[in-house]
Amino acid sequence: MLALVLAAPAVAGAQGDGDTVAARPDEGRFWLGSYGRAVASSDLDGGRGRPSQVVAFGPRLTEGSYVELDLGFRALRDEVAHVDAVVTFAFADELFHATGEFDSRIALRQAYVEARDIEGSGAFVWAGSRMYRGDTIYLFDFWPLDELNTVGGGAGVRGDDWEVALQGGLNRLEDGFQVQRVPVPAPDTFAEEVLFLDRQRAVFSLKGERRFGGRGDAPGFKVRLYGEGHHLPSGRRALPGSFTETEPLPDDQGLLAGAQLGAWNLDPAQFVNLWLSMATGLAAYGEFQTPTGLNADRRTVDAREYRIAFDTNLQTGDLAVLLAGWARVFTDADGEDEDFDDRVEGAVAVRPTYFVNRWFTPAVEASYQISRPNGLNPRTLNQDAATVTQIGFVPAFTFSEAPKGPFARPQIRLIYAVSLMNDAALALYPADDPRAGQDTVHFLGVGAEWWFGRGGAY
Amino acid sequence: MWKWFSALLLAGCVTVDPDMAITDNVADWRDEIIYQVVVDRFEDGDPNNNWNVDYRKEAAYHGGDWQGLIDRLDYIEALGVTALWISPVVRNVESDAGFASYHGYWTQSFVDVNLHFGSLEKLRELVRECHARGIKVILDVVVNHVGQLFYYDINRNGQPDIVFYGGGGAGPGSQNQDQPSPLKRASEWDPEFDSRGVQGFTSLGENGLAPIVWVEEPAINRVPPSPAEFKNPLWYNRKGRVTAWENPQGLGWEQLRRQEMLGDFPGGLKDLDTTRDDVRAALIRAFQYWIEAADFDGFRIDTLKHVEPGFFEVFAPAMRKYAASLGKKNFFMFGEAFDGNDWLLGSYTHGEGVDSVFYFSAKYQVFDDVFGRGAPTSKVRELFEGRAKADDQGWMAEDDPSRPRYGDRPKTDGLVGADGERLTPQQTLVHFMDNHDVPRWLSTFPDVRKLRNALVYLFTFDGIPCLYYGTEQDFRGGPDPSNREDMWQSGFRTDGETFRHVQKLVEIRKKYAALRRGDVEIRWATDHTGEEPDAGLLAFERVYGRERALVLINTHDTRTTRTRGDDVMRTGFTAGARVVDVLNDGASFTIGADGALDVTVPARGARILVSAGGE
Repeated sequence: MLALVLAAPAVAGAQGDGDTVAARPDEGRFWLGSYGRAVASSDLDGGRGRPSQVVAFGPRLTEGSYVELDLGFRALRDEVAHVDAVVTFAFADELFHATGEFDSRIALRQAYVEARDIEGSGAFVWAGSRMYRGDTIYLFDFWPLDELNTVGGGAGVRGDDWEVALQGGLNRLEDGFQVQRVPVPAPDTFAEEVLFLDRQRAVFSLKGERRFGGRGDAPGFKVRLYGEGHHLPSGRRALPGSFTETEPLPDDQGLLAGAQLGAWNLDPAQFVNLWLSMATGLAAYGEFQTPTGLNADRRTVDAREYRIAFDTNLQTGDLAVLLAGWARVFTDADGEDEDFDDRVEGAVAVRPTYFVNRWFTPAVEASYQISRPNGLNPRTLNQDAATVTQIGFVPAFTFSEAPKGPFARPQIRLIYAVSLMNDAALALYPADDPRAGQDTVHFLGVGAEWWFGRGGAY
Repeated sequence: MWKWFSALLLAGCVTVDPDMAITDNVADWRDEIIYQVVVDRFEDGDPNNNWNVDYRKEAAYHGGDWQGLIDRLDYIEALGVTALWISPVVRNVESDAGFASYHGYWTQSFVDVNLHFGSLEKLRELVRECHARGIKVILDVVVNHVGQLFYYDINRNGQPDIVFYGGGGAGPGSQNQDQPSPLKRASEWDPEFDSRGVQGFTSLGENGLAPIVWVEEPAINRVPPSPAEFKNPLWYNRKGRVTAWENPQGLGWEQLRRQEMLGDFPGGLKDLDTTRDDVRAALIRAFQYWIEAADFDGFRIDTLKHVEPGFFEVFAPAMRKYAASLGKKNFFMFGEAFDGNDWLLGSYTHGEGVDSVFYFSAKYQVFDDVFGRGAPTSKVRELFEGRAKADDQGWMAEDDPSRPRYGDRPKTDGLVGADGERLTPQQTLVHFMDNHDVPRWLSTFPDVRKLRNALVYLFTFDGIPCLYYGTEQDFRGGPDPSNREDMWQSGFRTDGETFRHVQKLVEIRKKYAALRRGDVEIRWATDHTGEEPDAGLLAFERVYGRERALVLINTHDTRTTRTRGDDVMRTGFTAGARVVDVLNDGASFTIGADGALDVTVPARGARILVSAGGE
């Protein structure tokens, strides 16, 4: 939240889908904000460019188009409180001019009201649908610690160099794990579809942050502690083709605990962030994922995920080097030691950017992904680590009033990336997938990336 | 940096041993007691593989898996059985006409596991866990056919049809009064047998062999076979479905057998041409793979009588040789020739083919007729003595009419007994009362006394006993699929009377080598089934070295029987020896002069007598 803004890196570093950026406009009660990238790409074989990814969070460089639009309204700004209403639409990678379909995959990602600094106390409260996030790793489009997407509310208190925040929310994913609609006989029509299974996941989080120094150009340091709790109530699901016969679904839980250490205004590091976390049960899967690999009781309680991640920007003179990496160990709840669904994986990436002048900012990005399952690939019956080595060249033109840095936007750029996939990576595709035979994958694209005017503290 | 990153990342990763340790587990197959399980119906140990599961439909997947078997090994071990026969493990066509492939006999891939049951790692874990408990594992394999992977395009329109042709007879107003044209129906999935090969047909009549069309429906895994070499039309007989099972159409024996061997198995299961060298080689490779991949101890071979017999003369030696090369010497192969014809069954035991067969003739003539219907026990003697008779004058004896009904010669590099002797098919017939293809015994004969009576015979006669899961829980499901109940419905109780009865019989069989390995000497078998003193009596001895056991079974429902008619029964025990009944209360008896023994056996009761001195 505010920490993002205060942690200078994040000023620059705001980056990511729905992330915070600089201050919102001072004038006017309405504002428009956006994050977006639009890209036309080719695989140099006649097809569309595509990411080459074998891990949960791959390089952002070759991702497709994505646009978020914020519509904000400042409802109040006086001694009572600062109150904003924010609505965010998000559009997925299907642009009309690319598909010819006059349609979009659109999501209403945010719709909330927040009141801050109530009666000058630093207290804040919000409610609605919200992307509730901490710091991100731009290179991987990845929030390593705190990222929740729920409908709910939260409150907290923010001081000059500390913050405590509590959040609670619900989701009910449209899948058979949480929702089931079943036709039943109806008195006035033959059948009426009723909600048979209706169980919402409740997600609560608590975070606290303490900052030291960091004012102006002075070096700063922060510690953030973060925890999540997940709960899914029990339910009953109708058996296929029946509205009278049901089977029970047990309740489930999950916990996550983690910490972030951050520093900024160092030389040459503009910022450094290190994250550590451990998750169990439902929390190991994340709030948007339908759990798989359940234990014999059909619960997730035995699932585990351990994460470690780091991110930094080393900047001096006309050169900035973004460097980031992450690793995770994931085991599902089924108790199998030798399990293809369980894995150790990670990725590292480095992106040097050279500021030839104010607007020509070419960059090179190298990344490496590795994923090793704990079981045999069912296709090959081998247990090999899948790897992708990617080199990208990004001649970019940056047109921004922001200070020189790797996060200045908007940017118009060419991207050429070549990915080398090893045999184990190719074996992750079905044997009959044409991609399974392409160990060298090209991506040539031209596009733009921008963020501006993002309102609210999310 | 990449290498450093990789090494750091993978330091704590679980490593799977890519190779299965191969073990030689079996000292003497006659010591083994086989327990047959339909994996899908035994225990659901992993809910994550339960797609397309519907417990309410008998013909659907029910969720059982290899993890479930692992979870229930304590139960299996408590029962005392020593070898587990598991239903096929290979990937199947998922469903057809509302029926699912939960049984495993609709092969799509010969070399991939059926994911409903788990991963290859899980299968290996099951075998390892079994071996750790001294339990052997037998794999059910199908070499005769694949699943319904192609159709015959009889009308050449490029889609699978139910084709009707003909004018539909000569009803009122028909223009065909003089030459009625019957309406014929042909399913392009499963057309009826045509010895010429399935013929194409148009309105102008037949137009030659119907082309076959491979189907590509990944949603139900009805896709071309794997390995890809099996996608060769010439590898299949392409003659359509077997329709003549018991000669109802007046076919000659050879015609009947030809249809059984060359026709598709009902359900459109496409028949492989196992006379071809390339087909044989491919099947050999596929099933050698499974020995090595999961350390199986033997194969139960499906649909034996539908395979051209010469196939096994090549297949079985290749398997023996390969298993031996891995260090597995007593690799056991026994086949299912679903037929009561004793001569037909025996024909498969000659030469270098399978080691043994399921003793279907004993199932019908002994278990069903004698123990179920109360037929005279003399049928047991007749069938037993028939094994060694050279009485087949038909084509099955081929050019050696002097050969016995069942093979009496060991196979080259075949089974070996605990004492080093080479075992013959006559010694290793697999006895069973029922299985997944026939109604459960209690379904046909719903009297648990009879069941327990028959179980005594199963566990004390020669050969290798095979128990169908759930028999010990008094399951009584009718014909397929009702005979494939969910084992978990039993609660895996171990205090039931039949369970304890089986447990005790197994203990006794394990304790006395004579009951496992001994030769059979039938001491009393009678034609009497009525009021006679010996009505229903069957008595036989098992003799192994100096060890001897005498089994007395009364198959009569109401009368106590006695070991005497005009004269008292003679045994092989020495005069004056004391014998003790180890099945019941430990009652002891003294052997009279000339080995005479005069004892009674209550209705549907049995005694197992062994020397009180341990002889």
